[in-house]
Amino acid sequence: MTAGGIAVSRPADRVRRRRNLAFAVAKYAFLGFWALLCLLPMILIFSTAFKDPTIETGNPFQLFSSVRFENLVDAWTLGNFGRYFMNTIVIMVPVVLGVVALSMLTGYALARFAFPGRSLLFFGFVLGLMIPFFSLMIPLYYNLRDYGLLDNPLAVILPSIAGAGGTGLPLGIFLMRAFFLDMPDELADAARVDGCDELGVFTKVMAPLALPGASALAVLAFMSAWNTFLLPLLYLSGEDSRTLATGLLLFTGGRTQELELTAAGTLIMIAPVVLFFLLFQRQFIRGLTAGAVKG
Amino acid sequence: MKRLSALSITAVLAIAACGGGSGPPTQRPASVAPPASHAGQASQDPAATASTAPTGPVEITWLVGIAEDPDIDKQAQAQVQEFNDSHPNIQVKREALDNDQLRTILQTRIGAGDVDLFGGDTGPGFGGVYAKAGLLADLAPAYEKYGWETFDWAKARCTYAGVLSCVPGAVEEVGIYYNKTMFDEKSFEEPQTLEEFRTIMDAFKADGVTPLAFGNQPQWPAGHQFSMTLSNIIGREGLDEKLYGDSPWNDEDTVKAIDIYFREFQEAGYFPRDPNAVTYEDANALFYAGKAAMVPTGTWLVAEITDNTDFEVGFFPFPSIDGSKIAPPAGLGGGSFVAANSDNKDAAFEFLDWLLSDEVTKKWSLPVFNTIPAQPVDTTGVEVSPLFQQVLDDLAESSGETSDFGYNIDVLTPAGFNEQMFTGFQEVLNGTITPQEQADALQEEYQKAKAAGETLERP
Amino acid sequence: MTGSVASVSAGAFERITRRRGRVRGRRQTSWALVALFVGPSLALYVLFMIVPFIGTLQLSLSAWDGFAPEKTPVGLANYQALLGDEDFWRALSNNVVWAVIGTAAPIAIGLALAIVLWSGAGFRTGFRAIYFLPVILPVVVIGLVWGWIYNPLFGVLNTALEAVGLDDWSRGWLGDPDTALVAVLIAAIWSTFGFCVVMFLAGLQGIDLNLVDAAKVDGANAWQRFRHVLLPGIAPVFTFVLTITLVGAFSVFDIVYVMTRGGPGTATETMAGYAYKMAFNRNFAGYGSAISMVIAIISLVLAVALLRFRERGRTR
Repeated sequence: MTAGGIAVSRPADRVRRRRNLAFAVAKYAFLGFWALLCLLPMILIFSTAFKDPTIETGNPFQLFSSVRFENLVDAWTLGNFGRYFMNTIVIMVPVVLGVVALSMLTGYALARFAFPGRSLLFFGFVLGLMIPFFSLMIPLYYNLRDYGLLDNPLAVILPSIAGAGGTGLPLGIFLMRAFFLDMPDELADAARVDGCDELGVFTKVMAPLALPGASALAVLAFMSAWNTFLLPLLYLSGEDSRTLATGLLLFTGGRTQELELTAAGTLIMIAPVVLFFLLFQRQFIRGLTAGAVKG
Repeated sequence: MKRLSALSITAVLAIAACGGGSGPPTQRPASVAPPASHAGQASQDPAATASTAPTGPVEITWLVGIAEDPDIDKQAQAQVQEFNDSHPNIQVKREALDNDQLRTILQTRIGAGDVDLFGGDTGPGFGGVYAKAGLLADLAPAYEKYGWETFDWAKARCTYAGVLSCVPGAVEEVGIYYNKTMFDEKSFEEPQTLEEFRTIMDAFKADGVTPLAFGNQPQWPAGHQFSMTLSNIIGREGLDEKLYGDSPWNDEDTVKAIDIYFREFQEAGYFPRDPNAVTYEDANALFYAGKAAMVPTGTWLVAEITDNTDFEVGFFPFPSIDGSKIAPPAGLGGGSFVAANSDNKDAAFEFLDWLLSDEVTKKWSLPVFNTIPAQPVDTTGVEVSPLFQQVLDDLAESSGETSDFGYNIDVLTPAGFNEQMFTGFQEVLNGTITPQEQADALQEEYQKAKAAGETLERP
Repeated sequence: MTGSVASVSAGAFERITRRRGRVRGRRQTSWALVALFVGPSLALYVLFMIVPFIGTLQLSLSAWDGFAPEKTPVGLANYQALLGDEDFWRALSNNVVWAVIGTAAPIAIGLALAIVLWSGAGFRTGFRAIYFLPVILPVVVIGLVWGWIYNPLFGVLNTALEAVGLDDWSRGWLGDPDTALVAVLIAAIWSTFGFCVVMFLAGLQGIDLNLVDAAKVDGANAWQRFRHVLLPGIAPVFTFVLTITLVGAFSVFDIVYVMTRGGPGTATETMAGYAYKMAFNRNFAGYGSAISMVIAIISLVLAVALLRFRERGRTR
């Protein structure tokens, strides 16, 4: 709208426009307020991570009062994060692959196969979402010992896939089943007509179509595997095999006064996740809300 | 829904911090195997392993509480490295964990036999529980073989149902550190009486300085403060009566001990505001930064204090209360245990012997960690900070175990009692319950534990 | 609750009710194929979830100190003891407070923000991403940064209050029994409302705009449109979010443990924290297991009840 337009507009229009403007201001103030609330603590971490030693300045939380990149380097070396990074990847990759592959298989079977006990099985898996980890942790220790897995990365990988440490099979099967249920029967039928057997229908037609869902699940599994720390702390206890999350906990635990190093270590730990989230936001949100659109 | 549990953050060297080992009366473990059978079993084990001499390097896993100061923890790691370098046959793997995590992890790992050596407090809440469960190796043969000269009183603390099951750690005392520069500016001397102490604290408070940096967020520090006032009021004999005899925990003296520290001091504003929200580390930092004149804690902090302050620091015991004898809490700051199911007991013993040796004491324990071993020490030629020298003079000669000293209570009391101390003192500070109510609750817990056979027997 | 776990799809949730789907009437799939597709998952799930869960169930029926070689069966004694355990009821009541505030607040904030975003706002994706950032943080980090905010000595909150002259308001937020639970709750709400925004926004985007316009034409005011068009439209998402937050409220542990350890006193103790304390600090693994079974049972009952409620609403 041009200035001239405003000049000739009738009073009622002007009132409406002013009201619209006020409405827009209120709207963005509301949105902005909550956005700021979300960001401030993050900014706090970021700012503190680059500060001069806070124990000397005595003023830990004045934002961006000093810039000191050595903190990140110090935290990286002192906290042994390089090593923990590798350890985390050794665990994360198989967990993500395992969760995605097995969830696709089982989710598909529960959605599209016909066999007795199918719903019972589904409920059984979903039950896993209701079990808090620490109600498993003591018996699981003895189970792992009996399986001969203690102090082997598998002691973290396998329970994580099973769902003891966050996003695992219960959630994955839940999600993937939803995806496969949504797919039209006609596709599968067409493939059958073309001579695919049931396995072929899955591998050649349905699984590729479910890749968006699978990538969403992969993102969730990545997040969960990245942040999990009690599993490795308990079952993979050697210092050499510590993960980032465990490492961060121990690093910050001994450093309550060196806030700048604590913040730097925290930044190292959360930066990949935040970056990952920002890059894959679409998949991420889709993973969360899969199917919700159709209500 | 499920979310992985974040464990504790606050690392604490004070091994006395964690309780354990008792529980609600409704749920007693109905059958605990008689200690004697475990003793027999445990004493056979070392002999059994001794016959099979290890071939190739043996790896032993050592689980300990992490030092609060990262620099000091690094030194501890370096100490282990020195042992590993000089003992090609034994490789010690030191795993340092926050004390709360240590407890959790030990509980899940110890049964599996992948821990050889671990640290913890020697009281009924920790060492006592492990001993009862038959998880501790009998160390008597090792004492004999290596001729460790541990003080008898300290050995007694390591003896459960007649079996000597640990090597005592450092001797520690709880008292009050003060900023000498600040004291000198006001020409204050170390207070001898509670009245003098109050005068000093009032003066600092008037200046806007926190008089006493008491941080009780982690809950256990209150147990130490209670030990200070109670030890002074009733002395060692009085404490013995409470621990081993029939003297109740809700008598007038106990209520007074609670009242002075947790109600009166709090109301007078001697602590940082809301001490329940102040972490142990933050409280110490107030002192390091010169924002607090004094900090009440134990001698385990000497090395860190020396590291972090650029002013002179002194140490005095809690002053006399209404003419009472000054009896600062002192005792063992924990011990080292060898797991009964360890396959490498001999290696663990050898490592312990190295830790106890004169050479290591002079090179590491005294000058670096500022810890006082529970055995006769020769301090000639060892250079230490003036503060540590003061503590040494105060403590080493008597080794903390004469009638001049009281007890640090939480290492001698069962877990249920400790839990009540931890939560209850927070509530007294908040004004949610009265000192009398807290004393009654303590007595109730002690009675429960006694009925369950969890309290200590008179040595 | 993290995004990772809280992220069960609302649509999938709905579909639980579609028990017999479109495969009905088709010939049964060969068992070999079923075994191939389901076998590995089932094996892992049973070995690493079901078996230890049964272990916990057994533990809850026994007295065990966590160490002793033998566990003594005590029947339901642990559960009976719970009934008379004041501390347990205290913890349960804290969970109830948590369930009410910790559910209502993020849902209200999330719904409001989602509706504003949906009704037309620039940077919608940007806002959505920002609101969601706290959800992806590990609890340790949430506890750490909110610890800085609440710190009584140099905390951001007190500094800010003092800067605007509200010195009287500043306090040790986590050390005061009157404020501690709410303070921890606020940190928890901070880390969950973004999840609600994302879920509700997705639900709103599925609503047919023609319906809204039609309601407008019919003269429905804003509240009526919300009540009769938007709310039914997002009902599945709503039930889903409600279930997740409610169930989460009864098993909350880590954020409390990191920030207060249940203190001051027992002001912020929750059932899960109490179970942990019993099992690991007091060496009552059996008793602790019984408490965690209670949590699992409450979670299950809540989830099933809400699901049923939903199903009934849909058939009507």
